[in-house]
Amino acid sequence: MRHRAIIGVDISSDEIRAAYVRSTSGGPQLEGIASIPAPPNSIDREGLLVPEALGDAIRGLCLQIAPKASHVAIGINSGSLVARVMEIPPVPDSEIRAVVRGEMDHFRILPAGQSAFDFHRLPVPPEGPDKATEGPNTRVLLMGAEERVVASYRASVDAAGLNVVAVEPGAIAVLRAQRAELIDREAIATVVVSQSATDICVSCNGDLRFYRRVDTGTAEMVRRADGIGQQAAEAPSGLLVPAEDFRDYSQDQDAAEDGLNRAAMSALMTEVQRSIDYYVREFPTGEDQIDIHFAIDAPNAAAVFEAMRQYLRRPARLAALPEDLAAASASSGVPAAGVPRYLAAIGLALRCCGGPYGGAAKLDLSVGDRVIRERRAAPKAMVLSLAVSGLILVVTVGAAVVTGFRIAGTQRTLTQVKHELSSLRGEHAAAVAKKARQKQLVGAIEFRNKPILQTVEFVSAAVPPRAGLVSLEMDKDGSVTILGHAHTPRAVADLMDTLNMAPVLEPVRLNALSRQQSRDRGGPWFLRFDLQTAYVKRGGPELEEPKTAAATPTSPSGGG
Amino acid sequence: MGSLPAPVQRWLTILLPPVVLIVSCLVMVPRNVRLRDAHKDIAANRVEIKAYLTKLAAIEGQPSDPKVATLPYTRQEQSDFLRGLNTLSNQTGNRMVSVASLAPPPQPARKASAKRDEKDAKKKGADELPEGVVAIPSTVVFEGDFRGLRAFLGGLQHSQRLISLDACRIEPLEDAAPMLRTTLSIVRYVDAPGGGTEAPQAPAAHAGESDGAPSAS
Repeated sequence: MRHRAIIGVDISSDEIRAAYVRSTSGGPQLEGIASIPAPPNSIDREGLLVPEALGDAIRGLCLQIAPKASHVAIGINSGSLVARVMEIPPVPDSEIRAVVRGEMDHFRILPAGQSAFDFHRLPVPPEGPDKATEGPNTRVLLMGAEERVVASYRASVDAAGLNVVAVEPGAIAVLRAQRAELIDREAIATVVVSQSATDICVSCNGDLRFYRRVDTGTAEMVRRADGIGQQAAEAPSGLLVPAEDFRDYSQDQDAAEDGLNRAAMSALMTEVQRSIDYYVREFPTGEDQIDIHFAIDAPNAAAVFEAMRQYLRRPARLAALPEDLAAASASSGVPAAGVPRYLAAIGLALRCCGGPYGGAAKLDLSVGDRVIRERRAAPKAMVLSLAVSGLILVVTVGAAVVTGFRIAGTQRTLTQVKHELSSLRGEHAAAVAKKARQKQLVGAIEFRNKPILQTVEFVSAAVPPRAGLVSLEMDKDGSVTILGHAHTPRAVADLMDTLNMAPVLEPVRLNALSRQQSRDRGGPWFLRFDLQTAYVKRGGPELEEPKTAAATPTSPSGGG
Repeated sequence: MGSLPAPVQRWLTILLPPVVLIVSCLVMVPRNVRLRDAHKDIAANRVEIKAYLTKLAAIEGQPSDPKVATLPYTRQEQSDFLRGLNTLSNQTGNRMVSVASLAPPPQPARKASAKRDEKDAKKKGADELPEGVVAIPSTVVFEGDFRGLRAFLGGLQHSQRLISLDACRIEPLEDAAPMLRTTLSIVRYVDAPGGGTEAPQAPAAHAGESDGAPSAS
């Protein structure tokens, strides 16, 4: 994430310094610097920052130089900061971190699982004739600390209500602040003397090539100014040096009377000289081309520098802001006096700037793979979270109310439609039942009806000329009884044959055939016949209508 | 909230919006589902209403049956029926002799169980009359020649009111050939008053008494 405006905060044992740099189209612009004395008891005996003591101080400092800025890069100069240059097998960049982690655990550089670290890939020295057989190993600069140390830095910024962009070693920040000047030089050694240690960095064209850390800081060299022989041999509070690492020089016979521990200075300068000699061997460079820039974290940095320079064989000077950045700061009204003290803070503020500062080494100890970020949620994030939640709740309540009204309206409509449907169902059922009842009734009536007219017409038409009917009876049970007279049996037979042609009548049965004489004495004799048949039983009203008419003789002759 | 531990603050900040969102979903989703279901039900019911309206329109659009199967059983119905018989008899050249039993027979006791009624109806088959319809058999005796007999029977068959002819006996009238005496059993159907359980008892009426025709002996 890139931020256009970052505040760099550098915390030493006696002072908190802040610098505000804003990226503009013309390059980084140093907008302001400020410092305040460190609050008492802001650093505990283990070198951990106390967020409760530092939070308000950091917030006030940031408000002083940049009220609207909310992102902070904080420098770490703790004595428990560990720095190593390691050689690891050549692996892809994405795997370097895992390899470094393994090496750290293997060499027990920091407690396993409780450390925060980052690394910077260093260039490989050019191969000499005696190193031809060595493999092309990768050199990385590892810097790390216990995660509780890093967490205390983060917590201090969180307590100020600001957002942490990175936790970066102060020496790396100083290198970045000077990068615009270093980028044009083939080799420059930058010696960052902090209170607990000294970082020796040699860069070539702005790129870091060599790094070494010596555990001698201004606390050892300048502490004498507070009074030799009057101080107890214990670690003073507020010192960024672990108490167990504190060395007492109060009984040192070589201590100078001006308050500077020249023995320590001499030893430190010797280490500086040796480091540069080593660099010249590894990276062949003309010795006259290496200048030394000193960044000293001490109130009397100039005096300390003058004392240390006596032990050096090379040209040296105090580090200063690059010309372009110094000019920009002058135009912004930043006082030039004391700016070198803010190099670390300015370098931290330049962390996200582009241009020449974009290619500088960049470390962030807070991105350790197992860092427990004991941070408080930023107030803005909490407010934002609450606001979003409240907005969602309000919208939900409103939507629920609106939906409730809509549901009620829809339910009313549904009830009305259901009622209408129920009414229509009943109406339809009644209509269908009425039709079914009508059909059943008509069918039943037609089923009960006997084709009496057709039977009368058929039977009367069936009577042959020499016969006549006396009576015709159709009972309720369907039987048909025919009584009549005939002159000959043949006429009766013809009548029976004709009746048998009717499909709706069962076969005719001759019950009786007798010869009788008319009532008049001496009258003619005739045959009296009694025929009986019946209607064929039907299956139901759906059956076809009687087909008597189809079998009816052409003309009903009134035989009876 | 400032007094809460940092992890609690952090997780609260992270989790509060999703939790509220989940609660919002829990509140809104069932309501929306209910609303959607209600709309679906309304649409389905309206489709069904449309279908029923179409069916009812089709039923109402069917031509009415010109035949009258039943009439409400009233005193006027008896007299109208008798009047109709007399008119038909006169038009066909017959002479009404007697008309018996114009009132419905007493109804059998209603069965206790409705289910049993349904079973009985199924057993009785196709000639079973619908509930609420009473068959009133009447015996009509008239005299006339064969042509009059045919015309009378044809008139009954083609009358607008549906009747069923149950039995018929045709015999010659003594000493009056070719006159015939016909005894005809006619069954007409009426809507039972009071749901078909009861029918008013009316005395037998003779045709001649209703319209002044000569009465049968």
